[in-house]
Amino acid sequence: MRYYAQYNDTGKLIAIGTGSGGTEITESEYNRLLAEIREKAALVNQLYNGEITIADVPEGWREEIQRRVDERIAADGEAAEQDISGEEFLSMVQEVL
Amino acid sequence: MGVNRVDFGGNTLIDLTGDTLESAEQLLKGIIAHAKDGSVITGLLEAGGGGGGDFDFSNLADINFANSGSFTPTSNAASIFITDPEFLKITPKIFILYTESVLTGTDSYRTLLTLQAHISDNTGFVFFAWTKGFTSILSSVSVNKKCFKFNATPSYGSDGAYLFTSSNARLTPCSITTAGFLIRGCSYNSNSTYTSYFEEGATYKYIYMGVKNQ
Repeated sequence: MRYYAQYNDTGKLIAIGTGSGGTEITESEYNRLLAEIREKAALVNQLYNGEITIADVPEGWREEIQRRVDERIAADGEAAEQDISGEEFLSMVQEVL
Repeated sequence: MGVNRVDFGGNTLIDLTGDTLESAEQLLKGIIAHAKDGSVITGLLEAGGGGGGDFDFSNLADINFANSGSFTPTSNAASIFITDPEFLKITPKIFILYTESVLTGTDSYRTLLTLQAHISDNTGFVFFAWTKGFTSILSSVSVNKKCFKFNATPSYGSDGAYLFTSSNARLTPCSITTAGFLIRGCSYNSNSTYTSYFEEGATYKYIYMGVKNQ
């Protein structure tokens, strides 16, 4: 089986996988990265849900984990916002008035 | 020779000529019935082999190429580009995307999540497929580990697949110039905009099949 790592234009690792694509890596490297990706994802979820504090995150990962939690919170805010048409807005204002 | 119509006293007692059953391959294995020509046939169709609900197997006879792979994104905003030189040599017929990972779905984006497979080749057409409804995805993926199957038959308005060309594209076709295809995990919000959103740490698997020119 072929294992690969995929990077974006800035050299940041965006995914690992099997099959076609990316830059070929060894199976042991794939397994190491897989464990790290999943561990970080779990930390992001736990911090986002308030189950841990940033002090519980390994020091070398704190900046990244906090940034990803912040990005998720920001994404939540964007999802809650809704554009409305001028007509709808006028109707809402008229209801209030 | 079979009898497919019986008239008696000016009345038609039996008439099979308008039936649609013609061969044993159309009938489930072991079932005995009369075909439209009146002959008795015993079904040969294996259960599950062609009766897959909304999945049409009839246009898949020419498939002679298949490949598979997996990916695990490091963030929840990843689009995954799969490079495969062989992809340019085939006409894709089926794309299957599934995950056995448990999707957590904890924020408002994920509650609106749909899974999309967005595939493009260099000829400019986009084979695009999705499933609708996050609840059904969650239950079927994480509990039943069901695969999502798409074919290239447009079936607008329901779960299924869409074959987009330059004339009916609803999204701008990918400007991909390297042999391969793009898979995007997308959320859909109330503004009808799409945002890439695969779940970080979840492993997604895919299979694609098609007709390869000899």
